[in-house]
Amino acid sequence: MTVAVRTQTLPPIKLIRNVPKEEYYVPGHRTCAGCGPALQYKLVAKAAGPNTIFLGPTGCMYVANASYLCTPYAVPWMHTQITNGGAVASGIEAAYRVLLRKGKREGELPNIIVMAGDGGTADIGLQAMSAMMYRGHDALFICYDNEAYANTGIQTSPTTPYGANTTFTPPGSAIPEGKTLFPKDVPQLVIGGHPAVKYVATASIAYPVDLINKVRKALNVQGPTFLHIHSPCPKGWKFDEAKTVEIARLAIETGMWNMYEWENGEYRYQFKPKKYKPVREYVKLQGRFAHLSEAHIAKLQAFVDAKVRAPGIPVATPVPTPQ
Amino acid sequence: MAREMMLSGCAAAAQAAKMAQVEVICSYPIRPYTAIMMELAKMVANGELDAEFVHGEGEHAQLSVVLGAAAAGARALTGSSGVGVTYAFETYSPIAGGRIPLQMMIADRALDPPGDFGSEHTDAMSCRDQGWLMGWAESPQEVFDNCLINYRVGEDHRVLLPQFVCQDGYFVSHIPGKVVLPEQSQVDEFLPPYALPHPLDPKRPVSHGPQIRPDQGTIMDLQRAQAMLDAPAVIREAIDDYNRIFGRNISPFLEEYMTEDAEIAFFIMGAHTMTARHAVNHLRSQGVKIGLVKLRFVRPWPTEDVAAALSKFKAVGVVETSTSYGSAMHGGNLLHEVRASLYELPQRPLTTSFMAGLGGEMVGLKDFYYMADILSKAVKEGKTRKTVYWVGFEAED
Amino acid sequence: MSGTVSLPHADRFFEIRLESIGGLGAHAAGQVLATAAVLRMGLNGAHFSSVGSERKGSLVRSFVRLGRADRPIRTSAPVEAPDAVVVFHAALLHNPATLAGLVEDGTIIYNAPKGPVPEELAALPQNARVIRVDALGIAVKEQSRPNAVLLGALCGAFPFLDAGKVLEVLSEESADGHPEAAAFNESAFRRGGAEFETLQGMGNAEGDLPMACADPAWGYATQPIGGIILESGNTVWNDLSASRTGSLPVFNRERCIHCALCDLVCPDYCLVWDDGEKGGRFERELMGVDYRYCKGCLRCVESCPASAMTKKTETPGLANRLRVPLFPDLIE
Repeated sequence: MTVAVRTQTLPPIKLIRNVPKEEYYVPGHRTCAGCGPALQYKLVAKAAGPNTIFLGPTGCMYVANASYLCTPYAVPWMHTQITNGGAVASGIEAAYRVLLRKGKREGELPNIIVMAGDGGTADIGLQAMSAMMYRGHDALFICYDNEAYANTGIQTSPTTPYGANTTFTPPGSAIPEGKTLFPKDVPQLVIGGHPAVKYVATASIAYPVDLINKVRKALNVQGPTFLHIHSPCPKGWKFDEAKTVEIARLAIETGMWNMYEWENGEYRYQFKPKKYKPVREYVKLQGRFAHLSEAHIAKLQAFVDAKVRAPGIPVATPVPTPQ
Repeated sequence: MAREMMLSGCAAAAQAAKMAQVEVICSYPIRPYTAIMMELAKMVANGELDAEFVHGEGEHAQLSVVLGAAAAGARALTGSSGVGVTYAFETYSPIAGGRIPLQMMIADRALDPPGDFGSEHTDAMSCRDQGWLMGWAESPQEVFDNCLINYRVGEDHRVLLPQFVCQDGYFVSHIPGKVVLPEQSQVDEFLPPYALPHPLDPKRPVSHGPQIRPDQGTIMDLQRAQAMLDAPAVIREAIDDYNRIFGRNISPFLEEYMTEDAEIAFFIMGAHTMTARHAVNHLRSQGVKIGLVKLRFVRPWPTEDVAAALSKFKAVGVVETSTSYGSAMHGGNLLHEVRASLYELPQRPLTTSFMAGLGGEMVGLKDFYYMADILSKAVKEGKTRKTVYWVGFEAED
Repeated sequence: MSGTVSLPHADRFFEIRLESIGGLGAHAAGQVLATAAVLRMGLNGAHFSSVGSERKGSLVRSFVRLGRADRPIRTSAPVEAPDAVVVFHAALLHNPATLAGLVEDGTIIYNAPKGPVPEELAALPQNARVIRVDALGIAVKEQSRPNAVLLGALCGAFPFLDAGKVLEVLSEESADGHPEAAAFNESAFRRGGAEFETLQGMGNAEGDLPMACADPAWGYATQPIGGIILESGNTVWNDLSASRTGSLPVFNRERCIHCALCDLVCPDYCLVWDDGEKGGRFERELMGVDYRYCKGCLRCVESCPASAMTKKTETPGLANRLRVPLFPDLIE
């Protein structure tokens, strides 16, 4: 049974002036001012173009965008439960294969993109995401990571950093650091065990052209691909909404967020600092970390040091860990 | 040329799906419905059926995959049994409310705890409020019929609702019966191609399922309720066509058996109807004025038909194989709907519930004789002694 | 029960509606008022707010109902005929629902500095009392929030409310967060009570204002089946300008080098571009900002390398004067 082969290739962008003019994520949505996930959505939609179908698992990018019978998407979009973004996308991809094969639709397989938050990717949505990667569907799964269940009022998720204050991990006399658990490493989960996956990358709203290019590369690959996009949340992380991009950059400069691509077993790195700044500089700008003691910050620093040394991400000059 | 085969309920389901030319199938193994998927897998693998066969990671995923497929414009099929049906529960309302007419084959199985492969209707009946069409088959032939009929009704633009096509596990799913397979051309005449009004298509972008305010939500509920109100007329049309095209004589909602001068009757659905028919034959030969009314569709519930059919009798025994613990009827749920249907009648028959076949137990002829005896006594005494009898577990009367 | 206050109308509830957007503390204000009324003033009281996704900038309505102690409050319906409406953000006055239902001798308190009055006030009843207080200005100076100032103004406008008791509760709630906050909030509260102005002769209408009767756009026969939206991108009809909280970006065309960095950081697609002059330096040129969609996050200001985007305090009418429409054919 032959599969419809995709011939579409979206070209990479080298200069800002080549960023596409068209918008497929139009204004008027009710996200917070300065919303990180809304910005990445706009950039992803730009990168993907009109031959795209978006899936929106429940989360901020569902509730805030599509509120009250409105929609900011100029391409087809469907809501999914927070549990099943990967599964619904798989069904759409399977349908298009058979419909194209039978001649009931014309053209090529559209871009099928799941826009899931960190909960809908790594927590309640993990099963469906993993199965989509395993079954080899030609679709892109994007995790917009704002490091919490933001839409329901900021609760902890598996990507919330150690020491963060959320409404389920409030610091108190019995539990001074707030969140005691360390986060899952989501791209590594995907890379580690899914043989059908050919391309996984991390991106950030700090570097929009890089983000657009990674989206295009992922869409050009035939098969399942995964993008993990760092999308700071001014309300949840408690910082001035004008500083979103600065915070995103600092995350990369301190090692809290790592920028890389993995393709067919090879790693490539972007924006890797020659010397990492101490996490303290990142932490002190965000209200969600305001309660941390020196000991907590040291613990966080140790975690980051170990993470950037992990296989595949060599460190040039590591920041010494305080004793 | 139509041909006859001996097929189990599962195999009949697979044959129907193939003739309906389903396009996306999502599987996940659980007894006893799994046989449907194994049959379909073979058909896809050797090119008999051009469809995408997706291995779901669980029952919740199965429903999610076919939701995506059906929303994108493909005729989609999935299925499950027992706790698999309840695991997927989150998805049933979004699918029905989103008006996506996909089909789920349910081969009933008792719910845990503990593991029990026997058949109870509780798995599917637990989902009856979600807005899906739902009905039971008595035999493999009926499984075949119901698959096609449900696709036709569910996909009709006046209805646009998903469908649960149910069959008793083991008794129907695994015991072969004669099935007449029609010509593909006949099926094509009966069932037009799948055509969702607004599929997910980049050429005509739409948004499915935005967030809404409470006042917008009532409207969506009303629309779903209206679809259920409109469905019976569509069902009657569809079954008229079915009878005409395939040379059959199916009645849409209720089938009456030996009811002409009956004083008492069984009201029943599913596999045990077959045994009940034999019991009625035997009792009639002994002079008991007994008949049987078989229900095909639980949703939409045919209120007027039930009232009209049952009002003829002095006493009706509702035979049920599902539980609703703590309910007004101390156990079952079919009796609720029967009594509600009869409430407005100036003259109502006595009604009682017979909980039979729970756990997947055989319901034997002598059980039906026992039930008939109770109904006869009720007529003599002018009242029922109990609202509910757990057949086989009551103290001697 | 010490300090039982008397309501202005003994025979009915006294109803207050707080009109705000997320982030200005309207919900907390309603909570403080109702708590003070019930626990300290010997009244019966109820408070609840419109529920939804908690986001900065989304509409928030908070309702307070006060009644005599011997009268149970059995309704939790929204306040439709308020005795007082407190408007936390002057831009909300553009929306007729904000003042809807105000009784003919009711009071509105709105947050604005001294200056020209919004023309929407002419729609008020003749006998309505209009109170203005610069809640944002005072809050910023006192390191507090507008809700503390407005609570003070509310108590000043209605002497039957025991301001001391309201302040007690406000201080207790503030102290839970940061101890200094209680002192800041107290200053803000007192200034609110002392510095409000009562404006005369604003309204022209007779009788109570009609209640907001949201006629839904669709009924069950016309709403698209299954909640499907056939008009993709219809959020462009939303006007988000009320969600700004005091500042907006102002565009200086002469300094702009059309590098598009602002566009790459704006989540809301507010920036309007056009093709550059033929043969000119730039393929695409930035024309300006469509303030209909701008939420005032000011990331464009942060990212602009040429200082062509600068942060300015928003004054009434400024956005409309500077606005460049994104969809001139669709939306004027």
